[in-house]
Amino acid sequence: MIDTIQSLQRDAMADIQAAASLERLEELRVSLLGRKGRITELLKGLGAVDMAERKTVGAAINALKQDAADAIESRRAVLMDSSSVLARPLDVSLPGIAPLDGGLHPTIQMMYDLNDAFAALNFDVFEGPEISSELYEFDHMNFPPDHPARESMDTYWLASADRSGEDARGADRLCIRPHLTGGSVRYMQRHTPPFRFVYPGRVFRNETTDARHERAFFQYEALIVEKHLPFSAGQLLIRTVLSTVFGRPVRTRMRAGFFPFVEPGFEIDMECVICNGAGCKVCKQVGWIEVMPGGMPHPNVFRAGGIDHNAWMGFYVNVGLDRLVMMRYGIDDVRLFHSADLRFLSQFR
Amino acid sequence: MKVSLNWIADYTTLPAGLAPRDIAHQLTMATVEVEGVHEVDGDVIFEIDNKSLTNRPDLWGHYGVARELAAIYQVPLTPLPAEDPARPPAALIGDIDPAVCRRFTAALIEHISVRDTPAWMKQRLVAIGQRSKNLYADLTNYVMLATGQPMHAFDADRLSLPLSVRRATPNEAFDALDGTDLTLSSSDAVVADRTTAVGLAGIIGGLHSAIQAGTTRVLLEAASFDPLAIRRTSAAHGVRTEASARFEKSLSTHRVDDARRLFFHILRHVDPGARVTGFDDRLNVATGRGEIRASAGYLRDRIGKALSIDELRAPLERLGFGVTVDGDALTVTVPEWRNTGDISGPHDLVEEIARLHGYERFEFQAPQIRLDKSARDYTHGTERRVKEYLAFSCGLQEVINYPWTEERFVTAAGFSVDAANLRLAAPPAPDQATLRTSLVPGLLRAIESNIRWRGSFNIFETGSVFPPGERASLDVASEQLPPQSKRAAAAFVGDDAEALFREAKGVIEAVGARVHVAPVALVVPGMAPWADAGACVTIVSDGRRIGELGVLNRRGTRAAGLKHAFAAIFEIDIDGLVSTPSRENRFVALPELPSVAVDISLTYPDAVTWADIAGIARGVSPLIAAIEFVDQYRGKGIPEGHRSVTLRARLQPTAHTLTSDEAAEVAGAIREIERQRLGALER
Repeated sequence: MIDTIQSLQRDAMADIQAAASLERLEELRVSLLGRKGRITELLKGLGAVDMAERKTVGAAINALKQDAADAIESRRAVLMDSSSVLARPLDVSLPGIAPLDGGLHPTIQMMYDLNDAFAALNFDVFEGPEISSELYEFDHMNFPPDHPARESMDTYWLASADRSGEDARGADRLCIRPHLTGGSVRYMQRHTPPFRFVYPGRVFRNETTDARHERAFFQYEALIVEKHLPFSAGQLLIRTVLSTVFGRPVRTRMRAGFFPFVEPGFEIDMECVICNGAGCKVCKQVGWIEVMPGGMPHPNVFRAGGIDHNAWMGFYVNVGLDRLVMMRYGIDDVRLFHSADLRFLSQFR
Repeated sequence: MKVSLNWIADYTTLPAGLAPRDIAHQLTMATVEVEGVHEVDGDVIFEIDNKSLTNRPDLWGHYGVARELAAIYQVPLTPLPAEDPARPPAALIGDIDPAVCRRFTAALIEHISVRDTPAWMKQRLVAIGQRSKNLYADLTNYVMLATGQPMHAFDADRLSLPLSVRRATPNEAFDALDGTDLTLSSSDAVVADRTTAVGLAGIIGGLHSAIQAGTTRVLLEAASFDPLAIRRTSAAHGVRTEASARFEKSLSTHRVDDARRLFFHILRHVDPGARVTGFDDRLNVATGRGEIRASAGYLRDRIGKALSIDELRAPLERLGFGVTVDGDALTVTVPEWRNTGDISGPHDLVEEIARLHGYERFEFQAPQIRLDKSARDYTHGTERRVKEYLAFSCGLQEVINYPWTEERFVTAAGFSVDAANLRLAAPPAPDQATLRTSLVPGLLRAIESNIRWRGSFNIFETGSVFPPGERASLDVASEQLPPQSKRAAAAFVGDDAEALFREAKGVIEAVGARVHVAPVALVVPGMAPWADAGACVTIVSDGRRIGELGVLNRRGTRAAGLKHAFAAIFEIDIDGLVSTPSRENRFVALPELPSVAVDISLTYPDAVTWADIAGIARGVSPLIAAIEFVDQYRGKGIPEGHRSVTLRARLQPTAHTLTSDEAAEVAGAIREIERQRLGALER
């Protein structure tokens, strides 16, 4: 009898552990513990057992009953946990639900990337006014009085109001700024060197627009003024800008360039990121792309800013931000930036 | 400008075996940008970017480029061929306006017999893209391309001498030799004979006095004109020539002599019978030689390399500067060809030395970064925080519009276009002359251009606007600038006006906490000229009106092309947001007991606002921690002119856990007071 019980115990435990579904487990429960179950039948047959053995056999059957019930319960818990929560099939190939559909203008994103990079180098962020005057934008910038940029075919002058008549000059002649550099003198006048700051913003030129020319565009400028800052140290600015934009160091070169507000002045070229300097259509086969002018502030600019040019040295760089954004994404028409076209803007998240 | 390497070879012998690309590279690095290198018929043509030449009038001819290359490659420069035949003085020149002309010379050449340009000259001209015309026109052209000094040859028999330089009379007619007929004004300068204008000064000669097939006497003009006068006239009439391009850059008055001597040198070979029978020279102001003093220390500090005195002086001397050294002090004489504005102080010498030393030979030096002064101003970050909040927390897309707006959008937004607006003197288009006083018209433009593609979208812009107002000084008293304020504006476009309004309102309400500025409040009435009278509120911060929020009115929706859609809009003054140096809210202890929410639905007349409903409910019991809006409903089962509103009272006990009877008691009290005070009906 004990042998039968032990054999049933082995079989029952093995079957329960092997039950692969809740249905199979229920079948087992009924076949073992149901009214006509095999364990139930053993208990029913206990009366036929010798009195001497009945107690031992009874205890063994009850132990078996308890073990089987426990094993079924623990197997049920395992099977339950491994079953699906889904009431019906879920098509995992359905499209995801997009998060909030907003974003910054790609040029502003680039501006903020650069602000962060320069903030890490302890640069201040400065903002000059969009409406400025000939005094700051040209006179302080060492543009000669007859420089063509002062003409209305280049600069958007404001129409004469009460103060600024046709013949107004200097502080009385107002414009929407044609470059950011004029604002640097405002910063110089408000602060004492040494300092280093960036001053991003939008500038305006009276131009005929096409895929490469816009009337309104963004620039990014940085200026350091220190006691000792030879022009080769100005490369810090260039490297910071380019490695931020392209995510890796980019080879650059400085070559002679002329701008009234710098001396010496440079054109700063970067190695063409398309062909890595080998020469291609984008770089007109020269391997280099002109990206920014820069140089040491002209003594007349320092003078306008109230800084002694014999005691201080500086370095400017001026980046055409839109152009870098175009290179970053391969955009072929600068006019898209001011189009407000969401089909364009929503591509840069 | 195109430069021929064979022509350069007349003036300097470059080291043997140089690749054309290497020459181009050296010129680009040290002097001017070479944009193209073309090998044609045994010659090499360099294309130089004219923009990079603007400050170097000395480079607008082959001799100047040769001088530069000789300095770069450290090889000798041959003197320019020169010949000055006997020149009997003659009264060929009358009055010369000193405001326009610095120097004017005239030479009378007679006994001309040769008409054809020699093949070698033709070849050179054609190689750099010039057209050959006749010997004397080609000769003046050739000399200009060699020296940079423009000249003009007249048929002397078609002139009534002497020549003068004067302002044109108003509406004076002038027929240029390229066939253009111009009507001049009194700001134009002309070269004139006794009767009429025979040349537009420094720009182009006249048609009538041009060299003819039968010309036997030539009057040769070589002059120096004022750059600004030339540029103005050239721009005013849209006439740009090789001559005007050079005069615009300001030429040395001495170059007139170089040009004349080269001209006569070539003339003797190509038309040996020609004789100079008269010469006249009027000098109003001569280009001098400048002198600059600089210490070696000043130069070395800025160059960033310990160059010896010899290394400092040698590049200057190669470029034609005179240098005398006394201990640490350099006295540098600027040659006249560099003394027309290009070189004026010791800072200019830094560049001359460094570029000839070679910019590629300067190692990067990291500047010393000081951390004693972190000049970060927390208010500067507000615009960025606003942008990032709108874009990333609220899901709006940033757009950027021009600061000028088409007037139809300005008036559609309810703003006036009048004398108070700032206007551009030369606007991009006649209807885009006014500078924006609000960002809303630009958003209307943006809505119009996007509604074709999308039925609903949310956009924002931040930027400066220029509202009418008193001017004030920013940095110096003499400069009075108009008001310029930073705004943020957003538009929510879709088909449910109320939902759009509430979405916009939610964005504004959370601005305080999300942007770290003082909280803003919304008060009625609103005053936005673009808003529907039934959906408009004013945005207030720190007691000041800083903006408006509302649903775009019919005039606005029509202008923005919205047919079946609506737009909720807000505009706020970013400068009006009071930014806080740090986060300012305080921690609130977590409640120890569970809160209970009770929902109550009642029907109200339309005149009753949610503010009334919530305000009255709020005061019913100290257990009420908040009254929240759940839902509203109009339609079946609700009388006309009424709506059903469901509110949720959130009850927060502090003494003991609330029983359901206690919660029901508060709910009953709310129902009771809403019925009594606001005429609420039970459904």
